[in-house]
Amino acid sequence: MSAEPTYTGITRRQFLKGGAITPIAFMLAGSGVATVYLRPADAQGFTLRPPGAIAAKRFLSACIRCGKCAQACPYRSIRMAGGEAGIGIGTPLITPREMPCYLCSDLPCIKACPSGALDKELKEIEKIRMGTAVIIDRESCLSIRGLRCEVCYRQCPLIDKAITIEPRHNTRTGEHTIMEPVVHKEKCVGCGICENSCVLPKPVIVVQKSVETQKDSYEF
Amino acid sequence: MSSKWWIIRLSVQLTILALIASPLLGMTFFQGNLAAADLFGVPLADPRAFMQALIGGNVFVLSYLGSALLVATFYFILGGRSFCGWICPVGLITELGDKLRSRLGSGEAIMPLTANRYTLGLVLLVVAATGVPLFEVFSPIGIVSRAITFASFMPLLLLAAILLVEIAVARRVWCRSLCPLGGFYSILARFSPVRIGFIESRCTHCDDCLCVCPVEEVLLPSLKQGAEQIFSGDCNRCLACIDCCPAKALKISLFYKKRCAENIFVSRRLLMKRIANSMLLLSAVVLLAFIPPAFADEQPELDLAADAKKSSGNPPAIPHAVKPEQDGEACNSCHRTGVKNAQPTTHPDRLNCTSCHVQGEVKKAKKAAPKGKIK
Repeated sequence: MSAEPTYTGITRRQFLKGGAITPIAFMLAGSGVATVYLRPADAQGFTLRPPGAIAAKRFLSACIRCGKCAQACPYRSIRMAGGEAGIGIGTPLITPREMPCYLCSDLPCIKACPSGALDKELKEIEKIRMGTAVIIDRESCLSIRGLRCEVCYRQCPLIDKAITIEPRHNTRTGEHTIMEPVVHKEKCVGCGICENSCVLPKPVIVVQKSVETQKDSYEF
Repeated sequence: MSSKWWIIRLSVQLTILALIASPLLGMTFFQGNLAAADLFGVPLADPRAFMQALIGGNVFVLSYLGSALLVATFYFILGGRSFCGWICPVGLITELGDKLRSRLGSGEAIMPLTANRYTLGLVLLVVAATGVPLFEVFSPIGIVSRAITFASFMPLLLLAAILLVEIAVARRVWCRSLCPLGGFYSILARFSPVRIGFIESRCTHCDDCLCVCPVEEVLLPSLKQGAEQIFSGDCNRCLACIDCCPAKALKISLFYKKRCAENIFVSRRLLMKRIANSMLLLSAVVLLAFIPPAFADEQPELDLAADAKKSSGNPPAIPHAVKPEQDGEACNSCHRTGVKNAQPTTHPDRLNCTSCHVQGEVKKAKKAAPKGKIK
């Protein structure tokens, strides 16, 4: 041991470790955090939440991201958001075009939610306000163009309440009727079944933010 | 040197991972993850997540409080950060990472243990001030569980970053010093009745226990001053020290033992300080729950009357026919960007168009040339 030279500077190994690996590790950590996390929860526009979800900002902190609602959903409509959702990472959402909410009468997702992010007092299907259906592209809607489509109307779980058919004269042909589907926002629960069932490749009826926000019973 | 406790602990850790994965195989006795779960119908919940949902979301569910208290009691009895040592899947992963690190001989830097109290405080402050649940967003525990149950693998990048920092820079820095959940359990389970006991007469001061302990600071009062028990709440209860001690100087000891004489004065003062600190933290949490989250409010109710007064002139009348139901998005489909020469609106977010814009005179449309059938 005594013959060993006493070298007090840094070795090549230490230099590489400190000079190369450490900055790379911090860069990876930083860029991972920045790209995945530093964006608002609604960076991708309106997010359709499960039934009974309380108002958006409060929902983000009331939801503890346990995934029990998704596991309780019999249709696998609810999925958990990944990093693309920004600070909404791990929160439940519904993509109607993949699988809409079929409004189970016993609402298993609400029963599964432990924290009250989905309002436990909500028992009636009609009081759900997840969003509201909107016909965003009247130019393309087959029914409004004069064809007998009306699929959204037939599929709507609140048929003749949330979507009605308003017949009017087809002035273009002069002798037919246009059976126009009309969404009644005060009745629509925003389940997304119409968006899911729209026959066009790009749905003309989609669920958007509802004017009326979901009432909840936990405010104190 | 035995590995009895390590094998038991590893099997518990793997059982937890299997439980989280069990719904994938169609089994229903376990649902959820470590934030909240149902195990054989018993609701369990992370007490820290409960606190944060209360502060940030202003939600309160009695059954949720019950399940959070149940879990809190469980960890209080087991003591220390037993969650970190026995349950947490991230703990398992970083432990394996640490084995690799000690083989590589890199990342010797250590951060003080107590930093996690401050990260816990930071997380609670942020959620109170902004409504952003900081820990839930970054939590590698949630990321790992969701990667297992919902196959969302992208966020695992964060875990990889943590692992890399722990291997290359600072030894187990996330688990030891940064994880707010660890800080929470250190505070919660400080006075638990199950502890590691120390028999000074047997100790040979070989310091093997210091080498295996992930939080070796907690052993120092015993080794240096002969304290009969390990008091620190930061002890992981991983029992690695009991496994490795060649002299069997460490054991599990129940209830509170008297501390050694020279320690009493110091530790009583320290005890009072700690109690005062935890009372402060508790009162801070209670206070925070009542601060209305500043940015967490809903979209402000539109004051339509005040809004109308601000704008000059009357809102323009609608120069074309509208149906009674035609409103909001239906108008926006042309007026948002101005297709078909429609005037683009400055306020596409207000969806009750016809409550201000009244039906004006309808211009007679030019008779279009009849299409289709020609007679």
